[in-house]
Amino acid sequence: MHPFALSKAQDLAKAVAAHATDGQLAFIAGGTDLLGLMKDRAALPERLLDINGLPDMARIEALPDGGLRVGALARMSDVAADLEVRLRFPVIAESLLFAASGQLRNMATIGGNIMQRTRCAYFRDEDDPPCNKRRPGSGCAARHGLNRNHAIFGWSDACVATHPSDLAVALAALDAVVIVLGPRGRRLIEFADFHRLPGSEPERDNVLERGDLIVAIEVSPRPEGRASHYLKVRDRQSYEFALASAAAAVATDGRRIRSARLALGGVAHKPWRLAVAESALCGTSLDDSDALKSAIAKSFVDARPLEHNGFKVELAQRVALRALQTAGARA
Amino acid sequence: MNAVGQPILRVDGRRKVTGGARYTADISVPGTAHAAIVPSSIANGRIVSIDTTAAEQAPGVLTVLTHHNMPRMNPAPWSHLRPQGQTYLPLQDDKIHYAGQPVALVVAETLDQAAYAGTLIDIEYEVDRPAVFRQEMASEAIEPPQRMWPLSSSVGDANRAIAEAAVVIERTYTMPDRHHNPMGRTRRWRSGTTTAH
Amino acid sequence: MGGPSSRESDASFKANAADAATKAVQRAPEKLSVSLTVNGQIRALTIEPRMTLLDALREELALTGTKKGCDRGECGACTVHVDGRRALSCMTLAAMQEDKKITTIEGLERDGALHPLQAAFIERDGFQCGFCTSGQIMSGVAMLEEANAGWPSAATADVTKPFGLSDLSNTEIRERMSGNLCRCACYPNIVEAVADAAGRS
Repeated sequence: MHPFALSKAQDLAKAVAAHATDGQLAFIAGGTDLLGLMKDRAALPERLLDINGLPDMARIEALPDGGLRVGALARMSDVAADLEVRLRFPVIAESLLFAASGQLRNMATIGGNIMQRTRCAYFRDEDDPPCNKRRPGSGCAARHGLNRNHAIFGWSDACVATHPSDLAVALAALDAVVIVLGPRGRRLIEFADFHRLPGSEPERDNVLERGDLIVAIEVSPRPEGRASHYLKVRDRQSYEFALASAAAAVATDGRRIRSARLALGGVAHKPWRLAVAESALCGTSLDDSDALKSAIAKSFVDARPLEHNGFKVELAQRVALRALQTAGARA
Repeated sequence: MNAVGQPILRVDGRRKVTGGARYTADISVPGTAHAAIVPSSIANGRIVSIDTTAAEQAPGVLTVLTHHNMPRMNPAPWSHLRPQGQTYLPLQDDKIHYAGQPVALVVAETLDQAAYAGTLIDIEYEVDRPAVFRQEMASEAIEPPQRMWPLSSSVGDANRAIAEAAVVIERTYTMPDRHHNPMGRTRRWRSGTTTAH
Repeated sequence: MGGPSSRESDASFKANAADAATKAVQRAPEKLSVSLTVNGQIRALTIEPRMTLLDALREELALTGTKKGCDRGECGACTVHVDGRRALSCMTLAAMQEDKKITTIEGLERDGALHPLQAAFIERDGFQCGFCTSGQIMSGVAMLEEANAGWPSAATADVTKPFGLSDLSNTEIRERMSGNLCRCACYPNIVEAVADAAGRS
């Protein structure tokens, strides 16, 4: 790796100030994505600030109102193993368990997980092929290149990459809130607004600014929480990123869907909420698979596959359907 | 031969499960230098210029070898023992034959120093279209001349077997273009003799 | 955790050989004094911040039992325990491990007695070349603790239900060990070795 300096943060406010004023400073928590980016030379910060010692940022709190609050430094494995997380929002626990490997889940943090960068092979290529995310203005090699793993929604000619986080898909489905501390104080970011579409500035994955530090993520109680499921389809059975994944959560009256939440992973630059399908699913019976399919299909009218990923259009619909049915079985 | 068919415990078992088995990279010789290969970022073409000044001045670097200063190597004698196809020896000229071909070797006191210094080398390439194997090109395949052993052999009647088969599956499989033959190499020079591990 | 979003700071993140070269010539990276607790012993090191825990163990402490397979967090050969939990030492900076207890494969034995999983690997022939074996065993030992602590996995049908060591099927073992690759394909025997150790615990 390139040479860099390392220091340890003792104080949250000072850490925020340091990041705000030093463009060459990167926070490091679990380091499982950052060190990989540095080994691929896709990130070359001159200074790292170890934030693992910051107090009170790793708690997993089952809130009295039935919601959940997870500190940004909580490790993936601890959140996935927490019994209240598993009972209240199984989709969150499952999205964590289907990610990475046992070792990585012990090291990686919740905050780092939603900040992780795309796995697009061109972005991570040390030989620096055209990539607007890595080197703004250089082009997008994936747009007309090997794009089997890339987006079918929301892409632009500047970037067709997908967001790799599984947890983000679950949090998007549950309308989580990201609590951020920045140079101007504390603010709350709705999960749907956290990650960006690539547009003409694909180098920006999310809406955070210099100095911003995620301190916690909150999920409010909702009727769909308990009957929820995460389903991930990929080339290998384990330890592989999604070709397509779905987070589904339903509230029912018997077998009839009262409300549904459905988000997809592996298909866009951010978790993809199927808002139109969610509306169409209201009142549909979980036993009427034709009606379920038809509702889901409504959200695929604007799917735009690339040269090598046309299969994702059908695959993602099937993944959404099965996730919905499994979630429904838990109601 | 009464060990055949018996579940014998491996003699290297204890060492391998305790971390005690020594592989090449585990052998420590005081004062070992470390080398990092700088791979070509193009698949076909040639090196127009290669500037190693920054790399040579980087901390810990002992030397940087390129086709400009690499000692000349002699191809193996007895042409019939060489592999079929072209003989290629690294760092002997400016031609690039494949993606990832070594274009420089950085030697430094630590591997981190060698690898990082490699990133400081400035290379200008003349890029030719890469050659990519496709199924359609199979008709252009040539049969190379025989060296020591016959290249073709024929056993059975494949066409007939396929025609008579109850089930025929036709698929196209692709394989990566590389396989690995890991060979650790630690070399120790001591007054006229060299020991390789 | 933080956002590099202004144009100025984006430009500063660009790979720029000429710029980096100037800086490299001007300044060698400063070394840090780091105290690591490894296999119960406190070891004092003077190392660069960029040195991974893997390189520190192998190069500075001559603990070569932990292997470097891919050096990018994809194969599991470098698995060690950090405060009893399995972690990838190639994706860990040594200088960030000062108040942690590190255990390597060399530290599993107790007074010359093999850990039950080490013995099981020999009994079940869970290795051939042996290069992944240290990582497999370190991962397996910690994984059994995780299962014993009630952690579910992606192979668990219903995560809302409690989980225990007795629920550890071969399918569960395979899923939980999926972060450890074996090019010799000893997987069936590795699973049996882990299953043996799970039964005996």
